[in-house]
Amino acid sequence: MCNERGESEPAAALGLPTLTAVTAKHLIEIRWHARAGQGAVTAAKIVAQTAMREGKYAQAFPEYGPERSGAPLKAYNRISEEPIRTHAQVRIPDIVIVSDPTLLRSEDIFAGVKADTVFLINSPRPAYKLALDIRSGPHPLYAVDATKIAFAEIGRHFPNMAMLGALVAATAIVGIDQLLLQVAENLGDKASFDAVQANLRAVRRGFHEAASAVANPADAPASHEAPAQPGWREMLPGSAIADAGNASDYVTGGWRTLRPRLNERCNDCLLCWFFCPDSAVVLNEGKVTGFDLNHCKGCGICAQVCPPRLKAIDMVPEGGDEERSS
Amino acid sequence: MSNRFAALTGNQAAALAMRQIEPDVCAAYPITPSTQVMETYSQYVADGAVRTELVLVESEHSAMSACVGAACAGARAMTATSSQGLALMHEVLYIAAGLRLPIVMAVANRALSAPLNIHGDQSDTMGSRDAGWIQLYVRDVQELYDTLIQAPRIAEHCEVMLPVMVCFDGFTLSHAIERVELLEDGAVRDFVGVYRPERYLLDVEHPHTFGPALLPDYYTEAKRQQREAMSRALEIIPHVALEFGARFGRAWGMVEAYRLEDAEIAAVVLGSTAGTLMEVVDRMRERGVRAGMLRLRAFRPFPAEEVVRLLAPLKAVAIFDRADSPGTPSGPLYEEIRSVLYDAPARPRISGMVYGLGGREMLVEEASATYEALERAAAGTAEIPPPGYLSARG
Repeated sequence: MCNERGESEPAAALGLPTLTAVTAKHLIEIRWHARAGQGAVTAAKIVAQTAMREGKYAQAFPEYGPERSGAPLKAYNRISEEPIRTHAQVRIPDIVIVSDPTLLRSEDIFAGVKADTVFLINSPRPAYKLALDIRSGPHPLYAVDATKIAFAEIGRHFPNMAMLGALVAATAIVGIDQLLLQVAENLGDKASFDAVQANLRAVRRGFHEAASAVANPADAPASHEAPAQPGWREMLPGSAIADAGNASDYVTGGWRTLRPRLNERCNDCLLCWFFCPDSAVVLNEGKVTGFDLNHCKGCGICAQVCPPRLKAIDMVPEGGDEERSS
Repeated sequence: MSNRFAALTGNQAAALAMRQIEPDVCAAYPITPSTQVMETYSQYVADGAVRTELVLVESEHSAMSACVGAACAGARAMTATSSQGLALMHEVLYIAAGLRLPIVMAVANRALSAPLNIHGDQSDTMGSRDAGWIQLYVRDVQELYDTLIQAPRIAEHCEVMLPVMVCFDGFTLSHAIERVELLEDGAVRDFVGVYRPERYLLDVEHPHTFGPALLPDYYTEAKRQQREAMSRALEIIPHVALEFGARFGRAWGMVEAYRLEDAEIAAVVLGSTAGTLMEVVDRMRERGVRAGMLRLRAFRPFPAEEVVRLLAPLKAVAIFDRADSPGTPSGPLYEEIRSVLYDAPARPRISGMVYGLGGREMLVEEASATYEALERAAAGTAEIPPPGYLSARG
């Protein structure tokens, strides 16, 4: 298991039954839960390319929506020794990857899972605690603090390099050497030598720092039944929407990975209020009192426009999955 | 009443029907052979005969877009076009149907380039047969006038809410002068009624959002709902036609069956060629041949029930398509009629003939030769002709 310094045995070396269970499968299907702009689609592509490098057949494809940086997205992989003919989305995954801890609040990560589905989650929490908190029950669970690794090695919030390394540690679906070669090949053309090295370090750390846990098998995950969506008979003709002006009903605070923090140096110049694209700076009698966290997407424009002599706003990482566990 | 009958071209009759309907908004961009529809209408506007907001646009794409905007806002909107103009509207046609906007458009059917050709065939409207518009094809100028007056009632019916194309053969009807029995302005106004949309953009008391993006989780339901609206039009089109018939004495149904009751052979067609075929049927009947003719007035929605009921008992049928669908056995009418007859317990032998492209009219002699081939197939003395072109030089 993971110790406080994040130094742990590679999970692959722990010899959990899941390792062979996953790799022995004829066809391995992966579902990624991620946020747009954090490199998950690229990571899924690298998984597929690495598998192909090893002579396997592979697919990687995202579920595209109106992509905006920070919006939740899903991506999928299939890896097989045989040609893959299915092009449908993965509904019953063998592996679920959650590459942003804040997604545990909003996404149904247990949708369609089997008893032996492996979970790999980016989380600052130790694996055993995370397993208890999210009640992953009988599922083998791996945790890695990929956000911390990303900031430490790459300097930006690209957690998916560490997630790639952790995926190999957890499941051995591809070899770590081949993965590192593939990452270097993909980034080599567009990134500097230092940037490639930073990404490779992040992959290696993810591989080494992934830690595993299995929660109490009886403590089954809570069922998440998606609310029924209206059928064609309930929809207005032409898909008209009756409650116009409903933008504020769409809670986008869940997209946030960084949260604005206000300090006492604020002199209520209101630059942040003028510039906030989501009207999420809350005023009371002309004074900035805080942020509407239901709609703040964490873009950081407020902190950017805050006069440098004041630095009254800084961006801090989201508390992540704590909210769900509480 | 002295001016009850008038000698009008199809385009003039269309413009006159539009004047009597007096839509709130008309968009205009000229194209042969429908140009005179909007030209005549703009004269009505200039003369103060109508209060319509006439929007002169820079292309047919904009013409249909203007109609979409106007209809969203809550207006009754109309326009007219042909051929390349309809093709240029293509993407906006889907928007009009998808937003369930009851726009009415007169289409003078014309061939599509290349080769460049300004004359009549139905390739243009067949190209938009899956756009979600109701398509009605008329036989003569009188039916064009009557159908345009019925069109807003069909389009705006709360069970339907779909745009309607009234298709008439370019030049053959658009430029030919025929005798038309006209209706009083007041009678048309009463029949068409005031358009009161349930939801519209300018209803500030009940604001709605129109034209949202629907992703894989909802798009299918929107399309399923559109299909339902189209199938409800199967009932509303004859309903409106019946009411029109009751008021004005001229009835038009989903199809026009001519001497089919005891027929053994028949030809099927859309549009003005039906008149020619009726002549040929009469001549065949004089010889004692049990010949008939079926004209589909509605192509969208497709009157499958009537087609099966009327054609299944026959021995041999020829389907005349005034548009080709290269790479398939014959034209679109042929494909769909064969398809709906598949489940019939007994079916006729079926031949398909592509005819009348680029304005080449079907001659009486050619139609007669086809009927004679059907006669031989029905008698079992010859095979039914395979699908092909009527009168193409080899």
